[in-house]
Amino acid sequence: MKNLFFALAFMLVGTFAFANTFDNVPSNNIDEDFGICTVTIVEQNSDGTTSTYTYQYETSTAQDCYNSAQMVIAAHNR
Amino acid sequence: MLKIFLNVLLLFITTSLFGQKTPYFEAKYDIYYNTDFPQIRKGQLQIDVEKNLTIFHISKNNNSSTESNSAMTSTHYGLTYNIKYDDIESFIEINFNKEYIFSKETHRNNIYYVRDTIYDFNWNLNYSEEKKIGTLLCKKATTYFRGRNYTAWYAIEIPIGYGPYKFHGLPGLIAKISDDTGTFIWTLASYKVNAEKPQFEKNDELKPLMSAKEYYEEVRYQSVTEKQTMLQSKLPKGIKLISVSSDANVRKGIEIKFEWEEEIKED
Repeated sequence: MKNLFFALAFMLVGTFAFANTFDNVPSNNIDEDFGICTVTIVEQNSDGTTSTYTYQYETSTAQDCYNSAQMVIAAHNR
Repeated sequence: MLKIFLNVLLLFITTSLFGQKTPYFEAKYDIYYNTDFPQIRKGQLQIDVEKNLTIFHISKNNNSSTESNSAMTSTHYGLTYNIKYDDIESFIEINFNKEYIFSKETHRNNIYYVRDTIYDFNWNLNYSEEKKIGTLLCKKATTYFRGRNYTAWYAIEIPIGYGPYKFHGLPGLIAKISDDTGTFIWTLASYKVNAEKPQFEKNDELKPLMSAKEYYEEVRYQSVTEKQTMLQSKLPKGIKLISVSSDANVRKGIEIKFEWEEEIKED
């Protein structure tokens, strides 16, 4: 009975502790940590040979990464 | 006795075929590109024997859709795009009398007409090996062409010195030729002695026309540094490029090393 009581009390304390930790995590964490955007372009030539290009950019958001990738593709297609 | 009779009969048939006035000859080839994305194509070699003129038509890729497309995949490390460019039918026309080659090439959805010189093949014929390709008895020969070593099998029974792609100069029609890595292979599928008159290209309509040197240096094997500079100039100011890496400097095509590059090294 005593063990059961201690187990329940420990669970209750743990719940509060982890709930508080979660509140401290910023909701935009993914965007802030994004930093470097890697874009890989694989060009397939008409004879089946390929050329691979890897670009790395400094970006602040996933959307910036996507936008820069579109510009790289447009430049490759020109 | 029967064997002698058959040999005489075969000789008679062959002599009759080639003894006739047959200015036009046609050979069909299966082409294998065992590249990063393996392909099978069809080749048609049309020859005007009197004018010493050939045209080799190369079909589109048989394996998959020939339309250009691009597909994006998102990975843990970023974004990966696959860009597949348009495929087209191309040709290589060789005028042995006027000593030029005109070809139609495609690179990154653009079409180029290329004027090249006729390569002087140095064939090694010192082989005793023979084998049958289809019904044709063939002899072995080897050569080097623009960065690759090739083994060819030529048909003794068809004494014309032509072949697929830009290959020529053997005592018989080339029935099979492949480079020593097995990446590019041309194999004879059929031939016709009394063929229809070939349609050659109107050379003054091949525009824009560029030299082989210009095509390979500025288009097909453009340096990564030049490409990087070009791409950076097209990007908006807000985006900062940290690094670019590429394997585009690795030449993977049929022709990978050129006479003009070797001449520069010798100087």
